[in-house]
Amino acid sequence: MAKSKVSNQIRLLRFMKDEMTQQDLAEAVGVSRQTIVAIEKGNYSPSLELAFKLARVFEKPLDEVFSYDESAK
Amino acid sequence: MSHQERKALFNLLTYFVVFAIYANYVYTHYWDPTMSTDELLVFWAKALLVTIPLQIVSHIVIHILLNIGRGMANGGKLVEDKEDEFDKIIDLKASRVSMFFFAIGFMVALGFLAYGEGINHFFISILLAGVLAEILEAISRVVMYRRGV
Repeated sequence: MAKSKVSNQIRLLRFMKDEMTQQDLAEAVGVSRQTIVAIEKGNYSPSLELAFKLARVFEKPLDEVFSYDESAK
Repeated sequence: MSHQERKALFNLLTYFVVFAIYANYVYTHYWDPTMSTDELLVFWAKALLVTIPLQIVSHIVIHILLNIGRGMANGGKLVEDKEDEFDKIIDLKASRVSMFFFAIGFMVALGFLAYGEGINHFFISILLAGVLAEILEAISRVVMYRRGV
């Protein structure tokens, strides 16, 4: 299972948001903590809907939370 | 180990325990090596027909017990066991793995029939394919939860 070409800044954004926990973020967007862990590690690319929900929690535009790197393996 | 991984392994364990107890019960109470072909067909049909609801009911009971245990570990607060998009994708992929191996087992079972090996070989192959499919489904679930999809 290759790493996703979609990378994200969720760990950094959680830190900037008063060290928000993964559990709090999971509850805010309605998924399990395991899903947040997988997204943070780049092991899972979320759906567009979940990506927008995450961006909304951090009050950032989508491209500041997620980026797509075609050259990534 | 996460709740989802634990659930996958508990499901596998439940499957084995129920399967072993039921197989032992059927073997000791109903198995007769002198059965004719027609009697064998009735025996296997009944045995398999009872296995399916038995496995479903035992999985539901274990699921409830697991959630109660999880709630007790959480200080009496019941935790909602909701399934999100990550769970659904893993569910689909694990089911695909399971169906693939069960289909191979079914073809092997048909091969036994085609080469005249008898009904017992056919049904035992199907049962073993089911067990193998269940094991591989649980393993693939745990691997996908750990390594992502």
